[in-house]
Amino acid sequence: MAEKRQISRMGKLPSELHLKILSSLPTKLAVTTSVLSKPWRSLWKFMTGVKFDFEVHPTFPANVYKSLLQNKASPLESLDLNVRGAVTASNVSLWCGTAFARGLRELVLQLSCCISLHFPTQVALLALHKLRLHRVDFEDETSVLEDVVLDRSLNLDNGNFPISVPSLQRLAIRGKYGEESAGGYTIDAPCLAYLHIEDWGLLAKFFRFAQAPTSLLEATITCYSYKPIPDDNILESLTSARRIASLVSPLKLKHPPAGKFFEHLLSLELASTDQTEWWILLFMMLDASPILQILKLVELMQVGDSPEDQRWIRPDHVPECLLKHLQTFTWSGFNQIRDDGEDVAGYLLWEARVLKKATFLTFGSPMSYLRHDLTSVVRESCEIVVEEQSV
Amino acid sequence: MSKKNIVLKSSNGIIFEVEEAVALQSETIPYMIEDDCANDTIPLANVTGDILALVIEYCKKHVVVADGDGGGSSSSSQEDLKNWDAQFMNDLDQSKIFNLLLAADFLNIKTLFDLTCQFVADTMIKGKSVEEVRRTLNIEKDYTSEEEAKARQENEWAFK
Repeated sequence: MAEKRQISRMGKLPSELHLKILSSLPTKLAVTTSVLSKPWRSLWKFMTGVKFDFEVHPTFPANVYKSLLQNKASPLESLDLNVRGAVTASNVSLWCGTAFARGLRELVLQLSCCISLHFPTQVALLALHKLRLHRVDFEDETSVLEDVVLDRSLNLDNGNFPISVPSLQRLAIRGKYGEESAGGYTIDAPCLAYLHIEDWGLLAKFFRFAQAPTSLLEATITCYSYKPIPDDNILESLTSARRIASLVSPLKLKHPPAGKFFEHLLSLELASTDQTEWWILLFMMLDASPILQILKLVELMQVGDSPEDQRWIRPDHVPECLLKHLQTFTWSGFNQIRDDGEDVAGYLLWEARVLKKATFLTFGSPMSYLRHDLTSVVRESCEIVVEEQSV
Repeated sequence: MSKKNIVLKSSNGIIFEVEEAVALQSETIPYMIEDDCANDTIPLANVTGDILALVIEYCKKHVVVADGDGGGSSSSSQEDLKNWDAQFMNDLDQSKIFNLLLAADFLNIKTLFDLTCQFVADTMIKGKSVEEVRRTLNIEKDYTSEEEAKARQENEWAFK
């Protein structure tokens, strides 16, 4: 009896909750609920999302199109198409164009082949806020698009992937693990605030900026290729950033510019497996970042060539951020690879006049990594922590 | 800085004290705090104690802790959370799912609401016959056989 009462309550959910439940289903399945009862007959037409997985069926393109035309949601929130079979660019353009005309806010496209989409400016992406593309070239100059996620699949053609969206604020590019394609990206997004690059590919990609973003807040760059990024201007393009984290990145500046050009940078995280130029990059970045407050160094297991015998040389001047601003300093994986880490650490601890906390994390017992007692070189006002890194 | 607690009271008078960050996953509660600043206890007239306990269990698991650098990170990995969510839903009977759905809607906790909707869609509609769906969701068949056939014919493609 109790069970029966509960079940009947489930049926009495308000129809907007039924609609939400329906919206969790792929569109094709949702359409079949039209035979349940009269109130359900047209319910699916008000779903705020349209979602299709590819089927080998001659009427598949027509079914997607028909569903979009019959949709009455206002506005249409999302279009999610996983069309890994053979579809033509004109089909995809037609679907997307229809959805854009309905004020689409979120588009997820997964294709099995690379195609270029061109939309007439009349249905420009006026409302689209979030875009997630798999293997699609994209170019648009009239949108208010703010958020782009690119997941590139295996066997990307070697070449240049252009991203040109003037209104773009967030960009994430993720390269797949083990991917063997080279090539890279040309990014034209002057309003970019957040940049996230994560590339697990075997070959290095280039990331070229058509113009440097002027108000970048955060940039995270993780590249696992063993070779340096070829022919890029990425570091120079990040000069407006407040926070930069570069993990395992072979970032290099070809022409180390003079002057304090990371004038807004507050937090810097640098990691490297390419040891040869690490110190050069570190001190160049310290020199170039006059108000830096947080510095983290991450020493990673050597994966490429063994470190060249390039010892650290004490710089001839102390960077301004050390004298006035650096408050937090962390060194993870300390002295794992190099044995002159303590010289660098000793220098930083002594010269960072306003340092409040220094943390050294070691893999294994700190005793086996430290030859000297770092506490003897640290200023009294600074707390120092040396401990084993939790994995 | 000490953590601020919020006191919630269920419709049947059961009191729950939770950390502010846990309670603020509900987008409704902040308005209630503003509206009811004279009293520290927030009454939730639409949610019973057993359902509120479930909601709080979910919110505690999903609370996001600030990492001190200005960013945020969850206390668990995404994968762990996904598994936990699946187990959480699987342990509930249909009555609890129904009430949880209404509570998540009322309290405006988006992730819990989406999770519950998805669970209902996956377990009560997907892979079920028309008759089964009608029975589970207690939908009265108000079509004549001809009308039902016509509705099916209208979208024949979806049944293939």
